[in-house]
Parts: sequence; C-alpha cells; structure tokens
Amino acid sequence: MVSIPNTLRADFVVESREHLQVLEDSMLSIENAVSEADVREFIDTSLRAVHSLKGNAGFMGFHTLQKIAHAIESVLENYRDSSVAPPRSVVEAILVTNDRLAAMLDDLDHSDSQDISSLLLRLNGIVGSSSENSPVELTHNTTTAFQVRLPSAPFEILAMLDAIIAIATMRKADWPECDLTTSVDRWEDSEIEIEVELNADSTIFDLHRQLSLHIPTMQWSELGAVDLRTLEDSVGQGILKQFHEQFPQLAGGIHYEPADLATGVPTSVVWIADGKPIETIGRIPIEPPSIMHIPVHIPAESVRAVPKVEPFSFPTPESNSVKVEGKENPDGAVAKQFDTAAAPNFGAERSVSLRIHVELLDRLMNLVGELTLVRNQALLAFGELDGTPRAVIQRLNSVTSELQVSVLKTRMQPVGSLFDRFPRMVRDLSRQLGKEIELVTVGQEVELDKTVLEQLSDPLIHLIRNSIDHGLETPRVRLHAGKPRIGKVTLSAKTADGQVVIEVRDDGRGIDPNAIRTKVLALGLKTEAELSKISPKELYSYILLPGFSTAKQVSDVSGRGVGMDVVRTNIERLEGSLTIDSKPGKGTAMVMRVPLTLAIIPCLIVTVGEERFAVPQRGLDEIVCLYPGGQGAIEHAYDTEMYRLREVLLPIVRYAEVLKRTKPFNAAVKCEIMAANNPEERDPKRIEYILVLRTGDRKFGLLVDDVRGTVEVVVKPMHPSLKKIGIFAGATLMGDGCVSLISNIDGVAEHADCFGVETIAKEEILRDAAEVHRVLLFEYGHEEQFAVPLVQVRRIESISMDRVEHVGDQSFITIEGVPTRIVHLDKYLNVSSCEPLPEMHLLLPKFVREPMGILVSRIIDSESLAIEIHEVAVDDPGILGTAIVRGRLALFLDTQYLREKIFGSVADKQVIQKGPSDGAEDDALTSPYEPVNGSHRLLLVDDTRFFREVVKRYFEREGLSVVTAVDGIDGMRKLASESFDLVVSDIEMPNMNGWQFCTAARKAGYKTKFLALSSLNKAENESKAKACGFDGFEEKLNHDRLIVTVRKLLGVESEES
Amino acid sequence: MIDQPTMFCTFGAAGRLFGIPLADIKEITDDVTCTRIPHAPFGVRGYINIRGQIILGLDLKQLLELPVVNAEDARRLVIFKSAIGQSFGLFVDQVGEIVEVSSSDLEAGESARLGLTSNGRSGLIERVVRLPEQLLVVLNPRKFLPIVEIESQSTNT
Repeated sequence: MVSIPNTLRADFVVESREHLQVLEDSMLSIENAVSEADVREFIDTSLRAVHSLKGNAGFMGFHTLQKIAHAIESVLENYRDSSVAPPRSVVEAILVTNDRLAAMLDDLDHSDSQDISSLLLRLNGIVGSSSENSPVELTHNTTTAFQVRLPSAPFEILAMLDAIIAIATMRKADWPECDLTTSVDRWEDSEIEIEVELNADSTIFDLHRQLSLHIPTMQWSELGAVDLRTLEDSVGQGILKQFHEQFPQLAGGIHYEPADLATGVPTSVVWIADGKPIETIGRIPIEPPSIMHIPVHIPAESVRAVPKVEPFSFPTPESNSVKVEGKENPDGAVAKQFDTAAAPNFGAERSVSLRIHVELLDRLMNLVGELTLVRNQALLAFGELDGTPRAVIQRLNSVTSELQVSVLKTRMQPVGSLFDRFPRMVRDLSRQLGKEIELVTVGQEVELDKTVLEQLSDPLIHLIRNSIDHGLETPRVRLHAGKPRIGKVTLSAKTADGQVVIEVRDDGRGIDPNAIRTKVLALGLKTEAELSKISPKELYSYILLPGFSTAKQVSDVSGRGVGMDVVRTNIERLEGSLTIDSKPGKGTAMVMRVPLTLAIIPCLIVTVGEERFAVPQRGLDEIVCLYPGGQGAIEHAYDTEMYRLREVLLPIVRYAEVLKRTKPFNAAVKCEIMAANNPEERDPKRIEYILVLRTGDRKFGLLVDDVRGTVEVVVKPMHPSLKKIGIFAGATLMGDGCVSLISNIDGVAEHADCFGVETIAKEEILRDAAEVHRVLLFEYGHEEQFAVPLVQVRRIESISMDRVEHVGDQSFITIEGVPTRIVHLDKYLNVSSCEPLPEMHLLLPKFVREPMGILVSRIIDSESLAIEIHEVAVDDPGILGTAIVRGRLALFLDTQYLREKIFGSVADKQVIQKGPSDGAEDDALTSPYEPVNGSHRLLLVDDTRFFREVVKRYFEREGLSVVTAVDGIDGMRKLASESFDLVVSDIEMPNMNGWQFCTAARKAGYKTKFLALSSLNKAENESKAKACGFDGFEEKLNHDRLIVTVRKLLGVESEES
Repeated sequence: MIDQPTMFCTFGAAGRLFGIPLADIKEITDDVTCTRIPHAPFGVRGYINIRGQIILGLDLKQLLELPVVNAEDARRLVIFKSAIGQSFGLFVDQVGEIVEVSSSDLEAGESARLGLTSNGRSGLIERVVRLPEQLLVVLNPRKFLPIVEIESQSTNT
C-alpha cells in the first residue's frame, strides 16, 4: 500500500465516515419516501456519497474499500433511473455493507486483507438478478401469496398482526371476509391458517422478521419449513446459492427456518433433525437471544462429515457484535476466522475530535472578543479600587485570557494539512514538464488560524508552480550545470516573532537580476541610474508587480505575468508580506510572513492630539522617547526628517501630519511639514515618542504625542464604504467603550511617501527588548511603590494574616509545607510601614534558595516598561535604583540584598541547603566557601542598564572590582586598555553581540576567561558558547549559580568541588 | 391603487424638516461618543459603539451641505436597518414626530424636477411631501453610503 501521510489518512477516515453516514441516512429515509422524486433524490444523495468514498479510497490506495463502494454504486445505479425505491432487502444489504465499511475504516491497515467475497457476491447478486428482471418486476415477484399456519396464542398474535398488516394483506384461509384484528377472540385455541399476500413494497423477509419477532416461543417446526422456492427475492436466492455452493453435501436436505433467512445465511448452531446439536460451528453470543438463538435444522441423513460452515459476515442489524469461533475444517473448506474488530462496534468508540460548524466557532470567537472587552472595561473600572473586587477582576482577567487562547486554538490547524496537498501536484507537474523534482516539507506541525490557512492555499500553489516551472531546470540542464539531477523544492514553515514564516525554496536557476532590470527599463518603471542604486531585494520585489513576468515562454503552468501580484495581494490581505530572495544559478526563495491569527492582536495605544490610536505591536521594534533636553533630536535631510537611532538614520513620519492630510505626501507637502516643525521652534517642554516600526525589511519612526500602554484588541474591519482609507487596518472597541482606530503601518508609510531605512540582515536586527522589562508593581506601606522584574518573581501567594506564626520578632507562614520567612520591608529598608490587613500577598522571589516571601499589601499591576533607572535617587542599599512608573516613583528592590540581610551572605554559610525553589545539580554550592580575593578584576558587558546594575552589585558584594561595558565593541575597547581576570558578557546586545565579542576577543589573542550570561536557554546555547570561546554559560539573575561559576572560573574554588 | 399611508420619522437639521420611512429605521439613540476617522470623506462623522457593534456615523448637514453652526448640535443618531446599508447611522439635530402620509400626498420625482437645487447630492432626496403646515423632504437612506464611497474616491487619491 502506498504510504500516506497520517493527517491525510485521518481526514480520509473522517470524511469517509461522513459519506457512510449520508448513505445510511438516505437508505433509512428511502424506506419512508413518499414520492418518486424523493426516492430519486435519496438515491442520488447516496450515489454521490458512495462515489466520493470510492474515489477517495482509490486515491488513498484502499482497494478493498473501493471495490465494495463500487459494488454499492452498481446496486444503486439500477434503481436510479427507474426512481423505484429499492426493496427492503436491498436496503438491508446496503446497510449491512455500510456497517462493514465503517468497521473497515476503523482498521484501515487490515482493510485490504479482509475477505469481502461474500459481501460482493451478495451485492452482485442483487445487480445480477435485477439486470435480468427490472426492479419493478422484482417487487412483483414478491407478492406471491402463501399460507401460514399460526398457533393458538391470540394475544401474541394480535401484536404481530398489526405489524404484518403493514406489510401484507392477510386473509383467514377459511374465512376470507373475516377481519383478523377484530375477530381474535373467535380463534379460541384452534390453529389458524392465514393467507398472506405481500404488499408491493414488502418482501418475504419482512414477513419472516415480523413472525419471528413477535412470537419467539412459537414452534416454527409446526408450521413446516417455508418452501424456499417461494423466496423469489433475489437476495434470498443469492444466499441460497452461496450456501449450496459451499456445502454441496447438504443440498436439498436443509430445513431453513424463515427467521434465519431474515438474517442471512445461518451462522448459529446447526442442529441435526432429531433436535440434538451435532456440532457447534458458530455462536452468536450477543443478545437479544429471542432472535439470535434460532436453530437451523439439518436432517441427519444429509450430514456425513461435520459440516464446516463459513461464518458469513452478515451480522444482523440487531446484533451488537458478532463473534464466531471457527473450528478446524476436515474438508479443507473455507474456514476463515472473522475478525471481530471488523464487525460494527457501535457505541464503543469515543471519538476524540468533533467537527464544529465554522459559523459557531466564529460566533464563539466574537463572544470571546466581547468578553475581552468587558474584561478591559472591568479592569478600568476597578483599577483604582482596593480589596476584593480587584481580586475578582484579576480572576476574570486570567480566565478571560485563557478562554481567549483556547478559542483561538480551536481555530488553529497545522499547516501540514495544507502541505499534504502538494506532493501530488508536484508529481503531476514534474511529469508534465519533464523535470525530476523532490519535494521536501518541513514544519508541518506549525499551527495557523484556519482563515489564514485557507487563504494561503492559492498563493502557495502559485509559488510552487512558479518554482517548478521557472525555477527548476530540466535534468539535462542541471547535470550540465553540475547540479544533482533531481531538483529540490523545499516547503517550510516556522514561527518567528508571532508570525508564521512560510518559505518556498528551490535550488533551480534563480532569477536573473538583469532580466528584471531589462524588464523594469522596458516598462519604464525606473531609469538606469535609479536601477543601479537599488538593492537586489528591492529589485526582486518588482516581480510582484502586475503584468511583470520574465519568463520568455508562456507555459500552461505559469509565465503569463499574472499571479505574482495576485499572490502578493492575497498575502497582504492577510496582513502578511512576501519577499523574494534569489541567487542566479543557485535558487530562489519566496518568503511569506503571515500572522498566526487575525482576530485578536496586541496593540500599543498612542495618542495624537486628543485622539487615541492603536498601533499593532507586530511591527513595533522599539519606542524612543524624546525628552526635552535629552540626547537625540530630529534633524533634517532633504525633504525628510531623520532621527539618529544608534547606527542608523531613521526617517520620521509625523502621525499628526499623516492624519491631517488626506492626500498622499509628495515632496512639496513634506517640505511644508518640515517648515512647520522647525526644530528650533520646538516647544522645549514637550515630550514626544518615536515608535520604531518595521514594514517588511524596512524601518521608520512614527512620531506620536504619547504612549498609553498595550491592549489586546479585537479587530473589526473598516466599514466597507471607507475601504479607500489606507492608513487604518480596522477599528476596535476600547475598555471605556469608545471606538479606536487601528493603524495600518504599511498604509501610513505609503501615505507619507516614506520607504524607511533598510534594516540590516535579520540576525542583526536587535529587538531592544532587553531594555523593556515586565515588572511587577506593588505597595507595602502607603507611601512607596515598589517594583520587581517579573523574571525575579517565582510566584505571588495570597495569605491570610491569621495563619502567620511569630517567633520572636520573626514571622513565618507555611507555604507548600515549608515555613516561609515573611519579609517586612520596613524592617530592612528605610520605607514606610504597613498596617496589617486580614488578607495580604506574599511575593516569593526567584533565585533565592531560602524560603522567604516579601509581604505586599497591594499588587498594583504588572507592566512592560522601558526602565530608565536612576541610580542614586534613593540612597538605600536594598534599592537597586528607581524609575518613574505611571507618574510615580518606583523603587526596584534588590532581593538578593534582602536575602543576605535575613539569612546572611552566601559567604557566611559553610553549607547552603537546597531550598525549595531550585533543586538538583547544584552540588557545587555545598562546597566550603571562602571570600573572593578583592584583587580580582572583572569586566561586565551588558547592554541593559538594569541588568548591568543588578549583576554588578552581585559581584561587588563578593568583593570583586567590576568594570562595565555596554556592548561588544565597548568590551573590546576596555579589554585593550585594561587587564581582567574574567569577562562576563551578555549575548543579545546591539552592535556586537556576545558571540561576536567572544570570537573577536579570542581571535585577538585574549586568554582571559569568558563567561556568557544570558536570558537565553542554557541547554540550547551552551555548545554554541563553547564554540565561540566562552568558558561557561549561566542564565541571568540566578544569583547563586552565577556566583559559584564565577568563583570557579576565578580559581577561588577548585574545579572538582 | 389603494391609498396606503406611509409612516415617516421626521427630524430637523439646520432648521429644515426631513423625513425617512419609518420602516428603514432600526433605532434612534442620543448622547453617543463618536470617534473621528481621519481621512474619511466629508460627511462622515466617525465611528460609534452601539452595544459592541461599530456603527459608521454620517452627518446629515454635511452630506446635504447645509450650514453647520455648531457641529455638536447634531447629537442624535438615527441607525438604519441592515437592509439599507451595512451598520451606519445619521446624525441629526432633533427627532420630531412620526407622520402618516397618504400616497396622494407623496410627490415623487427627481429633485431637479421638483425644482430643488441639483448639487450632486440631491440624489439623496427622494420626494417632497405636502404636510399641512410645511413641506417634508423625504430622504432615501439607501443613497447615503454610495455617496460616501464616491466622496472617498476623490478624497484619497
């Protein structure tokens, strides 16, 4: 069998089950169909379902399923044209087959090894007979009247009669005029004989079934066996034929009980004529016994050898499970064990997935959006209050966030389901174009919002076609160029920066930049002089223009010059971007970036004048604050305002001007703006913010008046009548109930005629996120606001103060079974004291081994901040520094200082016990401890002032003298001028990162020990650190580990300990 | 033809009386906060949040080029049913009574035929009704959004 991707396979099963369900439903409805039109419709529906099933099965290579589906199809086709409802027997046969198919779907791997000959025989039997006699005649044949003798059991019979009347016309044989149902009392205890004439749409099976159903205790033998010749029905004939073929020795000698025939060929106990079982050849253990345990009598004289009946796979519809124990067959006749698993197994299966209507999901999504809004409103409303409402709101907040995440997840689907479509397409294309192609897919597990995924399909098809048609060469050309014969197309997906990057890469001939140049010139888009200046990437972006194709030959597949612009439009509609990279002769990469989801996006709220706008954070790199009198100002260059952002000149767009001017900017307008914003006339007191925004690979600065914070917004599209407005991507409702507009960054740049500065290669784009920290703001006494970076917080625990125990002047509370020391800040720092409340919070710091918690009276919030720490504003050793947060002074706590105040410094302790916070692998900590010799000099390189300050203090407390540097370049400079015993360097830094720094230092011949100190994952980066020349790697802010490692590297502690 | 009275909701703008078929109106609210939409064409006041739904608010006086003494005068918002156009409403000065007009009093026709000034926006005016005291200018709310779109084309290019 073909190997099939699991996702495709799962889809096939789910889809096939649906088809089977349709088939079953229509078969069931057909029995009750009133008009011919209905019948026809049901048959058509079933045919469609079966046909799809057949097609899928064939495609997937499940030939057994395909054969069965084909057989059903043939049966149904017979009835389609006549619009006559298939008799019940046929319906039954189809339903049984339906069940069998369902069972096979449960065990696909063995579907092909199952014996379906009997099934096919039965189905083909129907087709065979009906092709000789038309379906109409078939039903006529079943109207044969025959006589049935009934025993005297009036009340049981009464129930039965009603059922029979529905299917047949009955007469009492000796009194045709008598109405059977009303004259029951006259039957007394004599046997009655009735004549039955079946209605046109009933079969003898129905009669048999009714008889056996209602009179289980009835002695059928008294009735005499029904003459099989009256079973004109093709199904009956088919079964009989099979049975006789199988057991020729029984021919003519078997007595069938009508009830058995109703359920197919007997599979139960076979009896000899005198009533004793000769051999159990099959057993049907599952109830209801009244139906199942009907013996088949076989006259003794006809049985010589022990007959071995093949257990046929016609489970009765009433059965739950059919188990047949096959025994050895002396005759060597067919004795195949019927796999129980293949039998329909109703109810046993608990499906783990559920198909939900997309509409419902969308509605759910909307509701969650509304809930998010209410949450935001609640946060605002209660933000100012103390006490319980706040706690409730916080819970509402966390539940809402989680709900939102879960609902978003319901819409997520792996891109694999999209990727799986392509192998077939590539295969077909490779044949069509005479190229040999290998398709490699990477990252199928990456998940994307359903709506995004759906809209990616067409662009991807187009890009892959392009790669194959234009990109890859024919085998001969490839060999000639010294490339492997088989061309390779790689389709990959990965997540990066909250976006999904999907790449179509081929190793073909690449795009010839000269061809594009020629074409650009021919179309008059740029002059030769202009062209010589633009970067290759920009040049390649011309391919995305409408009507732009460099293909010399238009093929079936692509090259008409339409398409790439459509691809781009489609992707841009998804708020994504498409870039092209190519190396002539080596290959081409088409890189699509699309957002994970469209529905809810994090935004920065900014104000311009009185108005609020939301700027999607996706494109936000950093925020620069222009303080009056601070360093950095906006300067003029030709018609553009520029800001010196470290090494680049950042073009500035004034949002206020963009909002004011409805016409796109041109040079004149820009000059006008510049004149209006003369730097010399600038209000010296005014603070402004520059949002550094990315559009594609370019950056520009958007000047706004104020930054209000971040909000997750539910995007509502712009009103259709306002689609022309390019500077907005949509609108959203804010927490206060007002509408805010969501900026479209690309649209703003385009409107302002600002291309932005090209950013350096991706590795070098440094998110200055390091300067932005999430901090927890809280209060202890009423006067001060404290801050602790969230990375240093392990957990916050709500405690009730009556559980606190006091030992002398120390207080403890048991958390997780560990008595935890409560730190009252006013005891250790010069801060205001706190009135005890019944309920307070305990902040458990990270990286502190001793169980301690800082008592907090009120949690204010957590916030992302660009912290500008003012070092000496408050002179207290327990305060790292201060910053202005929300207009209030916030004191940054030094948790290590507090810990040392309480538990003594690490040096004071001979043995440090393992605390509850971090466990394992810190054996080094249990070694004897001696103070570090003060003569050691250490260079600390970190771009973040906050971390630099924290870590510097750690070292200084250990008696080291510390010199700091802000990045690798600065570090190199310092290395050259002074000598150090140890260099501790951050990794993610601007200008020259830690990797480059260490590599450069090693290259320059410095033998100083290097320690990497980073927030990057240790396990993932340790080997890279080694390769760059680092002697060790530690994670930031893990104080104890850091000190131990530093001591080790300085040789204060021996390596073995 | 049977004389079937039509119900009109009347409202004032810049001292004139206007009417809109009652059947077209979903609701009327007042005292709403409106968010200005920069770059939006003349006639668009902004977005309004009506119970979680964002409504585009148009300004009747601006659309009809009526004198605007104080933009804040028009605070009442007439919101239309979705059949008239996608979530939009019209700011008017004050909402008046509902009048019943028999079809014989409806004077239908182009504004030009009616002798009203033709300034490109007169398509908004559907007919004039003779009320006992004064004339009621009946507007066709279906024409509002298309006008905004046309306006938008010329503004943003």
